[in-house]
Amino acid sequence: MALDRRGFLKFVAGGVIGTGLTPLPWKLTDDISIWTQNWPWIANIPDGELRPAPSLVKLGQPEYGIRITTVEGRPITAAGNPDHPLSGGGIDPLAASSVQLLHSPARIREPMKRSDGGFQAISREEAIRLLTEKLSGLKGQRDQVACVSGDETSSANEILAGLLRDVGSERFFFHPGDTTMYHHTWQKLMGGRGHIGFDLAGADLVLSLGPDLLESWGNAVSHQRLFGENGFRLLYAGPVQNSTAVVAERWIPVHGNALGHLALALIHHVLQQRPLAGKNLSGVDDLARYVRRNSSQIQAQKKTGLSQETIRGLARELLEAKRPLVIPGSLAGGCGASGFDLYCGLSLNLLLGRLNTAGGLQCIPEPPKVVRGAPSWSEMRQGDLLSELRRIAEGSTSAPELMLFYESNPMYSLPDKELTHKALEAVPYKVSFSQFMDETAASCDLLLPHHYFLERFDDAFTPFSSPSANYSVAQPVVDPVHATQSVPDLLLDLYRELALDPGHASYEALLKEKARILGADWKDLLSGGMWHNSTVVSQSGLELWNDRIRRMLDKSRDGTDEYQVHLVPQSNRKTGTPQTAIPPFGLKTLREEELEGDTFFVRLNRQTARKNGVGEGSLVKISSPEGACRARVSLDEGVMTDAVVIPLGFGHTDWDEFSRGKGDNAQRLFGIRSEPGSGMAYCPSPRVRIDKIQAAR
Amino acid sequence: MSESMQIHEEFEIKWGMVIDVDKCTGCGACQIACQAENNIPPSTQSFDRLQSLHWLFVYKLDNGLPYPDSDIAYLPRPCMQCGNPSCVTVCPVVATTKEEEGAIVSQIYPRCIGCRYCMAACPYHSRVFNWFDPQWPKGMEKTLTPYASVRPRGVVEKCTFCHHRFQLAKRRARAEGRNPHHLREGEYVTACAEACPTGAIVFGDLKNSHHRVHQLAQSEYAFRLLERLGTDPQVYYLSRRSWVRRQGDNHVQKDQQRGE
Repeated sequence: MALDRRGFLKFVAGGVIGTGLTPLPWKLTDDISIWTQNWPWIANIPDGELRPAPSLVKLGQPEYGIRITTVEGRPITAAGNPDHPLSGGGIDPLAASSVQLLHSPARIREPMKRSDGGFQAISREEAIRLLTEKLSGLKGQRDQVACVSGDETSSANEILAGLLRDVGSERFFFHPGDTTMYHHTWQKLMGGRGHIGFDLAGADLVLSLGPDLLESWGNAVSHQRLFGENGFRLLYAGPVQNSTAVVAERWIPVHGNALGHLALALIHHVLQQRPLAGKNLSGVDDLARYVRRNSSQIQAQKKTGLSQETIRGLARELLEAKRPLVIPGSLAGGCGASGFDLYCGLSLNLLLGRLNTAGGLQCIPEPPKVVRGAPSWSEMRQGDLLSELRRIAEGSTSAPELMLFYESNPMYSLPDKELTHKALEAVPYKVSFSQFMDETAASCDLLLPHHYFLERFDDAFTPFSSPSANYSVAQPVVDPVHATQSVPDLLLDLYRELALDPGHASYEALLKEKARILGADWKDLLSGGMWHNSTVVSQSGLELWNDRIRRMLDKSRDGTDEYQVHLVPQSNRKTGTPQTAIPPFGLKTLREEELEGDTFFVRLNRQTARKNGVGEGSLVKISSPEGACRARVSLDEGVMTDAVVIPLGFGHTDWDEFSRGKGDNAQRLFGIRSEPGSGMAYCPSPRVRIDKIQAAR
Repeated sequence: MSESMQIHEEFEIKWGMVIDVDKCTGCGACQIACQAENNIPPSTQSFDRLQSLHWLFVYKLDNGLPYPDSDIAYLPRPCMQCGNPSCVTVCPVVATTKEEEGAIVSQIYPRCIGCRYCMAACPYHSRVFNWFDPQWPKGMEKTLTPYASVRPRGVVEKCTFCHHRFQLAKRRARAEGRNPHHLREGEYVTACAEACPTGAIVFGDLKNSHHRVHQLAQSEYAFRLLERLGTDPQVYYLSRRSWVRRQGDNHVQKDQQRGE
């Protein structure tokens, strides 16, 4: 049968109509829409039972209880723990992204040793053998092993310091910061006992002399909660309207190097108004004589830039408050506060009668020691890392043969890069226990990565700024993701390899013993509770005046630096801590005026910008005698004239794509200075010069 | 907004938020809690309108005066869950609606065709578009929550007041034999409100006199963003600072109508 034209058209039309009546085209369209959108790279979300698991955030300050939500054992989110007094349900941005950091691309996945300029993966056994050999070879040789710890509260420090002492070394150092500076000032300079805490909950007026209490200083989350509950009036004195100043009742603009002088001026007023203030304190008459001579109203006005009325008004507010509390400290939670700053602030509290009283300074007892042969906590805090590094760099003391880094990244977070690098490079063999490939780990010879805090047992005794002694415990929430180890347990094994007896079978057993000594309920600690005790240490040898204090006050810095613009460091948990870098979720929360591409911003007001010939968006070079940084300018009228605010936490050279190469490391602008009298090394904010590289956009 | 454009409908429950700007330190914990809870992917870029998505963003405000008279405030901005949502009326495929219990503006991802009319209509910039597929670093996808599906490229997304928490709270109430439409204060709170360390973000039923938001929203210091547009936002802000309240709306200079 021939197919004519009409027949062909009928066939085609019939075919189209017939096919259209079947589900085939609709099914095909549906399938196409499904399969073209069902991309394999879109993550699937497995469902399962939701369970809360208590934990303790251990990513540097602050440390407090959090709750991890798990799905079938998989941690997914972190929230504050309402049952933990230091959290009260609040959380900071770094802890909020702590679950994601568990899977950070920067995690060190297995033990490694340096090989041919890079790293080679090795077994845990080989790593332990290498470390044991090193320690065995140095055992008995005086001070040939050193350790830097960035965790100020963990019992792991006792194991580390005890191991060092057992092999013949006393070179144990905490990463420098306000904790160690307070310890040196209170105990070594002023003859105090215990360590200082702050009872913000009991205060009715809090004056912060520098510290960003609600962002980066001490138990910031606890401070934030107490502030939010309208518990106290808050005044902030400092060079920038930071997170604390933004919500404070009043911002009192004072340059960073004048905060100690402001405290002295307030002391002068307090002693004028209350001649009998502090009469029971040793040296009060000498201090009174000093402030009469050096902190007269005119001198104070000149040094602080504040009017006499402002200073008088502030002193009146402190005197009229029922429970005032003055908090001196560093601007950005680092090692920027000098003994002078802390001494002046502490003395002001003492003269206001604010020691060991509700809403005042609290002298908290030292933690109990549980590792046999370990130094006491007070002895552990004696070390001055900055001075030690300077001595090594200058050759006045020999570098140790072996250096251990525990939760510490000095290559990144210490100032004076040239000096720090020179000192650390002089150490022949370095071992990092870091969980992340940080700048220090990248320079080490052996990497023995620690479990992440969600994978391990750990503890925290009285995090800095706590109002009373307290104790919290972390327990594993998840099985280790990588071939990492519990470093305290590994160190306990090392004790045994070296024929030493730490007195504990495991780290968990050690923590249980500590809880028992304290009288804490172990089960309560594991369920996210916190032990606390409000016993305070009475003082007997406290001095407001001695020869060391006199020399320190006589030489207090008066701003005779080479450049004119004050550098103001600012720290933000969104950009990490000295121990951590910018978390993946933190980077995208940075605003346009904080980071643009890989260039970060410094902030200064219009008047300062005009004086230095720069404008909004100008690309500038910030130089100090120690180094230089490249940044763009963001105009911010919340910054004092002749000051430039530089954020910390940028400029990592290792870590991961969320932090590497983002901005510059501000630490390279800071130098290390030894303070006369106190003998302490600290990192004052330098004066800097601003040079325009590229005009404003 | 003209009357013909209004879709206002009253609901028995009206979930809302009151944010005390004077307590916000700008720490960003709310933003990060939001991202983790709702599977918003991380980004290797900082603020970037193309690559980094936000359901909640913390803006920095200033009073425009030179030092030393300057003042600064931080303003967290979630979706306003408007009573008269401009986005709902323009969606051609009904992918966003205001018919949920609790008066929350929903976003139905499988229905969204990515036309972005809703983004253009939203005066608060609360909506974001997935120009790219979401990506997590290897292994980090294990932290994805079962609360929100992962949105592919070509889809608009926004804050849902953590609607899954509402569902969970209702389920819990039913299991305990209670009325799921009368949740107690604190039974349902968003991730951002839960995370806020100063308690600046308070969440609850604006119509329930037992909830704090009910009283707070009536404060003389309360205001809403761009209130004169008639969108009737369910997010209120509090500030004792008049310049902050004035910036809540696009007043012309020297306009004395509000905030003085």
